[in-house]
Amino acid sequence: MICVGIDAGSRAVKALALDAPGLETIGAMVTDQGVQQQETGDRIFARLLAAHGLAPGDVARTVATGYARNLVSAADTTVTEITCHACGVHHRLAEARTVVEIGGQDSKLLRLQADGSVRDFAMNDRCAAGTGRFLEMVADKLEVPLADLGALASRSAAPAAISSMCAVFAETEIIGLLASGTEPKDIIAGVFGAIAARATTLAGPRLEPPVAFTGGVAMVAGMDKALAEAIGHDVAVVPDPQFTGALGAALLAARQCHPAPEDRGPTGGM
Amino acid sequence: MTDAPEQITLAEWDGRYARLRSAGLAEPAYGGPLGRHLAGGDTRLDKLLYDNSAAALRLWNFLLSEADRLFAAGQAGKTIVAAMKDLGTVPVMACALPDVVAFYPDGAWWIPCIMEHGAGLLARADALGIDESFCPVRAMLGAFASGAHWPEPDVLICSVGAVCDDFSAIAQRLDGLGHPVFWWEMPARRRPDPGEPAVRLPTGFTAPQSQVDVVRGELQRVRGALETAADKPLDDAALARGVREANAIRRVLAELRRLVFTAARCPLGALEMMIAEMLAIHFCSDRDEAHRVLGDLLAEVRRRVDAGRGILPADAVRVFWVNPVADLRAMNLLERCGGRLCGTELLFSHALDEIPTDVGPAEALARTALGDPMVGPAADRAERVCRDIRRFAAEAVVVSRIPGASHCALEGKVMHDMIAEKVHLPVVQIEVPPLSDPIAAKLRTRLEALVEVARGQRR
Amino acid sequence: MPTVAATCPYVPGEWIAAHGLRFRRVVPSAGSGRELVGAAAGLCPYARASMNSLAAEPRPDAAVFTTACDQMRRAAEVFAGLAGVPTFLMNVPSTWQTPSSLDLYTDELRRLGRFLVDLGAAAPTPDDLARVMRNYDAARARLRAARETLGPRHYAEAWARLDASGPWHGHPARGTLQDAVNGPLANPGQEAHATPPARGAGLALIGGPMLDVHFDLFDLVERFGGRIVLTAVEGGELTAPDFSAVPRSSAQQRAMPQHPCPDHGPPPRGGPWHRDTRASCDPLAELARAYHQTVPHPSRRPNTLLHQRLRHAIEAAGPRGILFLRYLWCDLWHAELARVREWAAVPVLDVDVGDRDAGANLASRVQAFIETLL
Repeated sequence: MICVGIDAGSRAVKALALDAPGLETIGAMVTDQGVQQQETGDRIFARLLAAHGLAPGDVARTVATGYARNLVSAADTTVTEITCHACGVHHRLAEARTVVEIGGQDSKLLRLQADGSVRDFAMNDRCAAGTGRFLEMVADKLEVPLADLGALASRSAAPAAISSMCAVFAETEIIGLLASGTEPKDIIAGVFGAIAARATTLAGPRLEPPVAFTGGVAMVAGMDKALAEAIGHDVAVVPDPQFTGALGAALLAARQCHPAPEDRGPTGGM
Repeated sequence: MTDAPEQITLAEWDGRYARLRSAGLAEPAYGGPLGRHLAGGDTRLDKLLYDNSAAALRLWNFLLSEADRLFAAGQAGKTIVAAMKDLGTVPVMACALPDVVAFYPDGAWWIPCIMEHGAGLLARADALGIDESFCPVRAMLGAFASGAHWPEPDVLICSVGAVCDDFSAIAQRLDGLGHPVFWWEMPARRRPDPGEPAVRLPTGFTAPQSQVDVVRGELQRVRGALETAADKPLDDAALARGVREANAIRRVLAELRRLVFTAARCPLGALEMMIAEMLAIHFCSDRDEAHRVLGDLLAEVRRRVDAGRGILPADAVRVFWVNPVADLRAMNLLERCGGRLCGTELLFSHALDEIPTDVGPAEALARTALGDPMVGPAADRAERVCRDIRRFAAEAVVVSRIPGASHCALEGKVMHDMIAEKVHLPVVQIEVPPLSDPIAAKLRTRLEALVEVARGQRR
Repeated sequence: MPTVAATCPYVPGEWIAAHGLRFRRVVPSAGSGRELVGAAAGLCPYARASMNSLAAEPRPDAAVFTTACDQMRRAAEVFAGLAGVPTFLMNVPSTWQTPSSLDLYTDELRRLGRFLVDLGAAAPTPDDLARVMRNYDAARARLRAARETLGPRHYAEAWARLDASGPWHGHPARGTLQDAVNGPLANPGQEAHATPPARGAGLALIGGPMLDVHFDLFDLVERFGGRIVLTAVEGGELTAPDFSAVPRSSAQQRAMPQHPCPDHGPPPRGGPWHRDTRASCDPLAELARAYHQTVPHPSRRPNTLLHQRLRHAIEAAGPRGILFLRYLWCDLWHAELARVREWAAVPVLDVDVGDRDAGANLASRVQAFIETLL
């Protein structure tokens, strides 16, 4: 039985196909989100199936999540990314009790029960500061590939203080820092710290380890260390963090098809 | 369309109204089809969902005709009292006098929503230096400047002290624009020191008697201001009658809340419930009619509960809502996301509790006013919320931040943390501007996620 | 000696000092490193910095917050829960023209006194209090007299940090002034500090209380060809109590001795506490009246005293422009900006500041403003 999860975010759309009985990933795909969001969601669904020799009729159930979840016509149902990320993380790191997810345009903190269901959550989806968009802006300003930010930051001994809560004003700060001779490595380290600090604000005073780190920003080398330092706990990066949401959606699709007796996890409210 | 309880659109109300009329619907003078308010500029109404009962129709017409009532009262020579900020005490006093009508200009904060900025109130406030970094109640300033929403009051009475800064600043700006304000002091309620004479307030908080004495003294000054404005004495007997009348309304509302929040199936929508609660504050400028409107609503809810009928699915998640919203649409959204309203703390719970009658009316009103959840520690407010969460068996909590409101930045966090710790329920914070359309998807995600989490915890 | 810290101008340092405690008036730091409370949308940067500074080492033995603004009222609760420092929230009434509001303020002073006694302090006698009040008032007078010598920045900083180290001993002009006035007058024997000659466009700096970094504004203004000729900000000279303005009851008038004061020569217009306290005067009442009825603030209802004082000060100083300092999310001062613009006969620059110095943006704004005036 094949189940598909589609995470239709505001910056990228991720799709993942799961072989349901064994819960093994068949394949996953990512593409940039387009202006025609419905088309983008449908296209990636079709491409994913085609890449693995599958037809739409082979798919037992599809769950969509993410910002544009309601526009994915291939989906049988939708579930928010909060529940999907929790499910995806629990599948990969069952011991995690706190999840920090930093995506392209928002960041979330989830507190999980032992069975992977969400106990509580907090979100920052009002400002790009503290998200992947911020990192992209920094990489662009410093003319450094996104993939190299981590290596540069690790060489910093004096991270710059980035004070602005707003990504737009932070950009101005960065320009000012460059003009005053601050080294790019220190600026990047400062930005890492600022993003991590925003996650700490979401966490509040009580944060229960183990902490899992997921979302696209978790793929940026060095961000896990910055986050660990900010929250005062070790942080485990979830494997394939960009696909956690899509994985969670596919798992929920599988549960909705055939909830196993021993599986007492959530089904996304369906 | 049937007569079964359901939520319908404004357009559907036209058809329903015609059928109700032909079935013999009796209406007060302010009755009529809801759609007529749309023509008056209340364009947001077209985007809301309404309860389909005659009682709800009366409620909406009552709310939306308040301006007409106020202008008529002014023209009839009645004394118009603008009470500000205290949310529930001064109108009880004012309405104890004959030919006096009290209203809250604070209520103008919904005008930008209902008229979808058509009245330009926020733009006027901007021009007066009160911009979007202030709470949407700044629409009040615009409303005074325009003069289109109520007659010039005979007296403006505003509580200050332990109130929110933005309201205080806006009221002061109003004073500076030629609308003199009678200020009265509300002390910051605190817990009694050891050995200090204390009194239990109607809202459940405990306060030093000395603070009650301060408020009693201040309300005595307010009484003098009302007497001067009305040119009539306000003796204790009249005040006691006013208290009894107010309590009668509060009892109806208490029963309404109990039924709606505890029924197995939700018998009345969140939007109508929020508006019904607001009637407790100043009776929508007609105390006796407010009593009748709420009575109608209660009767309808009783019928539905007795019949086991509701407007939402039986498995709707029970949500406790903290703080009022500037965009009425948010209450519909809660239900579209799978939630139902099961408890509220909308910053005026002291206007919902009965005013004591075992002490003199002045002392009783002082105790009630000091019980305002806003004037004490956020921890107190959170305690009351937790009590009510348990009472109404809520499964999840929404803390709605009011954009620009000075108390929300710190209070919201204290409340969120305390509620989450004490009742172990999922809590989500949202912020709702006067028109939430641009952020509807984000609000929806938060509310849907909350519902998902709550459902997951049912297993 | 235990230290009690506060930021609000409605907290009389005299009252705390008279209890035998060290009063520390805190100028909050914009901060860096681990903080008690992080930045958050809607949270006033001054309230946040106050909490963080009061929790920073060396921690005070107690902190006093007031209800002068809602943000600080809420901050007290958060601080008390997180910092582990005994905290007192003083209810400062917004109304100020009624007898009941004065009674409320006076009762709060007494309640603060009980809090201080619970900390281990000793309740002062009227004589103790009167002596401390004299010393503080002398320090204020001395500071005013040093205005030209200190220069605008040092003068403003001295006011912001004006407090006293416990009970005073000796003549206030000798030695102990060191605790009250920072800067060159620490050693009165030295030559007066040479201030730069007055030049450029004179500006008034008015508005909210300053963080430590905001004193750099003085240097910034001078760099661009201006000079701050008037500083009228919360926590500075603007919000110092004026004992000469306190109305005295007829009983107090009758109680005033006709002979010159043995300590300080001919009696000034000041309060009867200045004299022999065996007369029927009540220094606590005098203190309460002075702070409650003469300290202007945007939270006061009505706010007439604030605008009266500002207008008077601006007319006297004659600046060519006004810098209006306020914090993002501070509604009280923000609302006064439009009022000031209505009556000010000179241009007003809105200097809205966030959690840290806005750096290049602020400098550009100030420079452009001065350029328009020159």
